Amino acid sequence: MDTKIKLVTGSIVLILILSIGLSLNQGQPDVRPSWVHQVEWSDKPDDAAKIEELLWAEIIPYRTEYEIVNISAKREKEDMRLRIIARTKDSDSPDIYDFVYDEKRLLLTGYLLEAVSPVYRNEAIGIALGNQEVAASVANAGAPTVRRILPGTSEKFYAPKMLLSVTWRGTSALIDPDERKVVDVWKESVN
Amino acid sequence: MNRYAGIVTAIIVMGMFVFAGISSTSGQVIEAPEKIISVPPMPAGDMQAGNFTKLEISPRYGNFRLQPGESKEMTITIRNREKKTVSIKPDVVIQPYGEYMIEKEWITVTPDSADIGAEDSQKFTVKASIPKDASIGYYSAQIAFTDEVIPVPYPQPFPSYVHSFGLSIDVWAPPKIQIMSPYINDQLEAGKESDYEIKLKNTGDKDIGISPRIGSDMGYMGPYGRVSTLTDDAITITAPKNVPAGAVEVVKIHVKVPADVKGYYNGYIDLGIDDPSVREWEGRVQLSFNIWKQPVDPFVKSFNLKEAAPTTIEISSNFFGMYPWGPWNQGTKTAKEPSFETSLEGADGKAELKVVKTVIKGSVSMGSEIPPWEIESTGIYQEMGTQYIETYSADIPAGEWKLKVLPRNTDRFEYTITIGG
Repeated sequence: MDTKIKLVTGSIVLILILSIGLSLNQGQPDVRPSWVHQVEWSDKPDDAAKIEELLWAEIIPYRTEYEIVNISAKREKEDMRLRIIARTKDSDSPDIYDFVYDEKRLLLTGYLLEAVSPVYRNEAIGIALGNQEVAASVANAGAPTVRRILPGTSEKFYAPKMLLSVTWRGTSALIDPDERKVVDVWKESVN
Repeated sequence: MNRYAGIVTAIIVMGMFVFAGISSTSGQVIEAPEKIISVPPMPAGDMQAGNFTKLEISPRYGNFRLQPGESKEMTITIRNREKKTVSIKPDVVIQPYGEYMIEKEWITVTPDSADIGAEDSQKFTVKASIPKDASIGYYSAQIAFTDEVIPVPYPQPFPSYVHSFGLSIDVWAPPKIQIMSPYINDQLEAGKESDYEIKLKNTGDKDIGISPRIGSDMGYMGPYGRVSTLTDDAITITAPKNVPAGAVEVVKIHVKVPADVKGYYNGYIDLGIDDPSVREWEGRVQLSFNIWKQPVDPFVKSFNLKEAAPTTIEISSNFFGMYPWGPWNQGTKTAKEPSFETSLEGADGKAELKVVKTVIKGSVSMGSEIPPWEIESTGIYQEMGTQYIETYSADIPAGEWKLKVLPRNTDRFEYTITIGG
């Protein structure tokens, strides 16, 4: 009797899971994440679908969603160079990623990630200015840039996690936004 | 095919949640990454002069960041460089000074003693457990593995242990108040008034009192020793007495700049947040003002024209002199484009100046002068600034002429007068 109940319960749970999976899977392309609303290609290659599938594991917006992701491809000998420009609703500046695709994998070769919403941008600047060394260096230095630093880079300076770089001309503060603290300060050496 | 992959993924993900629910407890603590200051092991040879026991201790220092009620541990390895067995008995030593005094019971070291054979090593686990009622602040302690101290010829209030490990603990708590506008940085015009808002969000379940005031104890005046000419009484703060639980309140800042003031103002508003998790400097909003006055009279440059000639005048703004300089407040871009009121006046009146060209000139970097953590942006174009250039032309007769330029929204400009051609 117990075994029958278990079988019935198991079947119901399985059907529920399958139903949820199917409903979640409808209405959008198979591999595109929910935080990407539109994708536009220029010089779309034949293996665009495979590239997109790999791409969604490599890029991610910062506490928001990408409204549009522009992907431009340029073939160079064996490899393909990809420039990704991803825009969010609440930031004027985009996230820019450079990849090389060798028909198997994507290799991130560079990035400039400035799609940080004003709320988080202000927060990062506030944390940076809370550091007296930084505040003293940047008085009247103009508006800083706020750029996202990916874990692969961050681990060389602090820990493998998403950090923010707040940079004025000649001075930069590396911010851990989760812990709300400055983890490193850079000042351009003046010769 | 991909649809089935999606289904399988959904099952796996849900399965993970189910198993996570079974295997974890509700009191799981996500610990901040441990930061260990890497210091080479104590060189055994250096201690020979004092005839100390040769022990390598690695690491020598540790730094925990814990909330009250949390605990964390780390491992310290001691290697015996002696040719005989050495007995170790770790002792937690509390420095009788510091911002806050750590309690000995917060730190445990296991094992509590060990005999380490010659050229052998032993691992010790240091565990810090912070009581729920601990005050927010910085704490430190030493763990002395032997009682050997560095001899000094004078009395010392606190001995320097030879075989020690230094532990720093930053006890913190997430602030209940979020400062949604943590800095105000603007260019102000002398004789004018400006208003700003600082939004405070109370994420806690209790009302939090605030008492904002202008900070007047700035220990520095900027990198070049610039004197602040705007006095604190030019700034008026209007604020509620508290921020109710779950609510957003606004602190209003009104700045009235006297007409005769110029220069810089660097200061802060201490919000006086009555929340022990907010440290003194965290409850501040930085103020940085550059006080500027739009000129009323034009700049005048006289020149002599020996014979009638077509004349070209070029006026260019400062490269980084946008007014204000950028997205100062609330993350919005409020920069105004520079412009120039330009005229050419001779003995018989003004010459007709025609704008023949307007140039927008940009400076683009591909990654020079960047901090090391932005190295991955090298090779990607980054616009650093914009310059506006206006070119005028006129056919003017011989004589004395005056070029008059009244700049708007720029604090620096250049001019070029080209006669003939």
